[in-house]
Amino acid sequence: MKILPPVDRRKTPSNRHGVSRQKYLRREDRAIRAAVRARIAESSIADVDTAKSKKIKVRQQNSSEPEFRLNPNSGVVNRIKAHNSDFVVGDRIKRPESNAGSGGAGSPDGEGEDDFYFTVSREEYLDYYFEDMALPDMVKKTLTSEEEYSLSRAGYASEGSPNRLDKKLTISRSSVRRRVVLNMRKRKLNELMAQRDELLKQISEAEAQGESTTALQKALSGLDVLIARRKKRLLSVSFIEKNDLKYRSFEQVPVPIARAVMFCVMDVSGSMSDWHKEMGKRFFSLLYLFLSRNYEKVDVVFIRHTTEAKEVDEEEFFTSRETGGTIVSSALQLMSKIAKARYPVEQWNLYGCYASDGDDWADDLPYVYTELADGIMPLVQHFAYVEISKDEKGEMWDVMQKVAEDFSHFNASRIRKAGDIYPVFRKLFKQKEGSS
Amino acid sequence: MKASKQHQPLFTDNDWTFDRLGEVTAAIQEIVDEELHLTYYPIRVEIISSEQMLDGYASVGLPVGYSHWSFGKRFMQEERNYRSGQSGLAYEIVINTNPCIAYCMEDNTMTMQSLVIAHAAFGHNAFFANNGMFTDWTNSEQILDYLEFAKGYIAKCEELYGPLEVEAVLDACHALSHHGISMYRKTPKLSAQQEKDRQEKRAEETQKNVHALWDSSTFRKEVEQETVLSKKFPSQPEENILYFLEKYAPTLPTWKREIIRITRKLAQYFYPQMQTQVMNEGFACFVHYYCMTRLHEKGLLTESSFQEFIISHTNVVHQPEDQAKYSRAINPYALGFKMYMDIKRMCEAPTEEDKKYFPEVAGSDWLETIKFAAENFKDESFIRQYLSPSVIRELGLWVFEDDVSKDYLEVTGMQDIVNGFDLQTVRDAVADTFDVNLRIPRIEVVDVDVAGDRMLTLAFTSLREQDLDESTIRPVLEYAHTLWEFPVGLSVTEADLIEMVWYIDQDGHFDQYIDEPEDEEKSSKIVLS
Repeated sequence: MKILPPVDRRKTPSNRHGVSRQKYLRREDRAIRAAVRARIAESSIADVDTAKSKKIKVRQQNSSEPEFRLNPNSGVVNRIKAHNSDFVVGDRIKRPESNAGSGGAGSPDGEGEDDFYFTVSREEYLDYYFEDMALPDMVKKTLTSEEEYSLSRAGYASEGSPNRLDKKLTISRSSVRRRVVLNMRKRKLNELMAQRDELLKQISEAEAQGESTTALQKALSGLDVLIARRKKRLLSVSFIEKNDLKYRSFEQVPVPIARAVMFCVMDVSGSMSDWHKEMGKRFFSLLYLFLSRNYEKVDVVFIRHTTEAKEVDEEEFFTSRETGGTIVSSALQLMSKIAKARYPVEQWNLYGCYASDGDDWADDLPYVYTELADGIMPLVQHFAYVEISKDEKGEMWDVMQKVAEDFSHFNASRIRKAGDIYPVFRKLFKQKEGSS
Repeated sequence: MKASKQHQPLFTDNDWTFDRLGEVTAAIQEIVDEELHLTYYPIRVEIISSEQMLDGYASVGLPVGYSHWSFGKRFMQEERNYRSGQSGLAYEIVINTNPCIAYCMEDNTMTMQSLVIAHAAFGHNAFFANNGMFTDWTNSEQILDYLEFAKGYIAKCEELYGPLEVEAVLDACHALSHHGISMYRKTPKLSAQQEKDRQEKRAEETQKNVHALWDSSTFRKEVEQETVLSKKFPSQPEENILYFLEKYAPTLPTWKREIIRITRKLAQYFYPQMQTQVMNEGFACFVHYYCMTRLHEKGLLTESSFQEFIISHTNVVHQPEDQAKYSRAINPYALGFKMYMDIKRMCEAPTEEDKKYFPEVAGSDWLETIKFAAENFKDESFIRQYLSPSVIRELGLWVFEDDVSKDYLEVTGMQDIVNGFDLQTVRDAVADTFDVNLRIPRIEVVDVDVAGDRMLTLAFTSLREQDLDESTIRPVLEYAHTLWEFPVGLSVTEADLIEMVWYIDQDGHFDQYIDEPEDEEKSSKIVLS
């Protein structure tokens, strides 16, 4: 057989390059990590959370493929070209300038040896992004919440809402029914036809013997009417009847889920400029993204404060601006109030983050400590204090340091510029030796 | 032209189906068998996705193979170029196997599938099955098994010795793979079964060789017999550096020798391909052009399909105007196709000029002549033999001498017949352009310091006065050092007899020394040469 039948190879799984690709990524691990960090530093946090894969520019450190090569700018070589219309033998042509030491002429890849663009998937990117970071005291994994249900298949029912109609099952039931009904009616019709034949025979016999056929004729016409009616009905089997309809049925099953709530608390008093808020927003976004990777469900509560604290929506949280003084403890108070009312510790993992420029009224400082130590720290998995300030440490720094000393799941950090956000974040959640 | 029975077209809309692929293949087969009388391996057409095509690119077309980061890198580069629209994908990949498998892209139109089947499944296939470079040097029956064997062996090594250890060996082998080819000596053909059977035996033999070479008692005997000074090792320069490393590296473990062997066997397998690009592509184009034209004449192709074919075909065999200095200035598809077409023309309608330059070709049977040309040459000799004045004129070929010591380029040959046609200059220049042996620097093993520090010396021989790109010397020597495990050096002798040696010493340090000859020696040698 000289010609074998064509083969569809498309469905054969071919992830042959997959292993080689992983080997390459591993080989350029340091370079890729550096490229991802560089990208993070220069791009917005929102960029991280798009579903798209990322194109990153990697300066390869480890993946050149050297081989002995001839120097293209050397020697005496007869070169060949096509489409001559200008020259005759003996002509001398000025050597083109650009050829002298033309850069990169030796690169077989047609691009700079060092720079290499490629695409990593969102997952790969986030893996690098959150590499060796972990949530402290991560998940209360066994949490069950009585209010959480998932729908689970529970067979079929003959009643239900139209969107749950199982079309395939319904049609197949209808087709079985139609076949059965049809057969039944055909059988009946055939019986009548047989009766009619019998009757006709009797009539012709009676005629042959000269007997009266009136009664038989009457019976025949009655039979004919019946047959005509039956024939008509034969083809009028309804396509769908109520009995055919089958609906998928579901029941609600309670499921354990791992969920977290994140409290974003920010000072919006007059001393907080747009720049401060932008920094805070970036930090919050990062935290949100990180939590989303670890929990199936993450609620976010926004609390802003001046001298008074208020729960707001995201839009208002980041954009509105107020004047006035600063009482930090008011916000902390509100946070523990909301937590106790809506996020019972047995059912939720709680995280908090407070961003501020470090200002507070001196009178308020002792309350900040007690609100944190007594009100909040017993409830949360982790609380982070982020001081956003280009200048000196704020009034609150010492208080926060003290909280950090007393509670291992409290962290205080300072951000002076956008580039600090990611390192600070990394430091906060850096996986501790030996823990996982 | 043959009188043609008119048929119904094989297809009228342009979507391919498996049935249509089968019908078109059968129709082309009829033409190939009955009109071209070609012999070829059994054919299997396989449809692949663009992802699989990229996969194929990354691993030089091989359908199976071991994994290595460089293939991953290539895949990502190709993928990026493809996704960003910088480059399209090939319509097909075909490799030299029996049966011959032609991988066709799923997004080709039915017309393109027909073209690709004629081109690859019949054209390349027939070339693989008949050209001497392939029939003498490669084993199309065994390559898939061998690849499977190689993949398995390397995976086993990764398990036993760790992926990083294996990677280091492969990196070194890849760096030297152009020097893992025996260019003139025939090597035994590949066979997976034999490889497996002989692996153990070979390990013993190799150890014996190595032992004989490095045994100090043998050495003492030679000193006593005063043969040591006259004995040089290797006695002849060895061009196949990987072969030499595999056989004689003093202390290399067996599994590393086996990996060297696998990489050099694969390099050798691809060598005929590198040497027959013009001929192979030209022949496949000739076959697809003939078959598609005949399908059309028989009424099996619609006018619009034939138009589509002509457009694709013209793009493939087009010689572009604009060429960068160092890019391959001549499109091998264009050159090859035009040469075969011209051979056919010379056979069928020879001119006075053809009779003068090609007395044996002019007026002969075209099919016989083309088959002879396709079977018995490689690019460089094929061009020297068959490049005709009319092809040179058609392409407007011209030659200039690029001598870096001069600030001008001098035109030395061209197509113009009026001013005395210099066929040889043009032919030589084109032949050299496609001579792979002129592109790979000639570097050979010339010496091993058997009695001393075991230094392995390679020597570069300059052809056409070209230098080595110095930036490539150190990294490649370092790789050679990881396989030899003792000092390695590369010696380059300049025209004025200054010998330069770059070397890696026992501790892995890189250095260079320059050896200037005595004045007398210099002058005497110059006289000699």
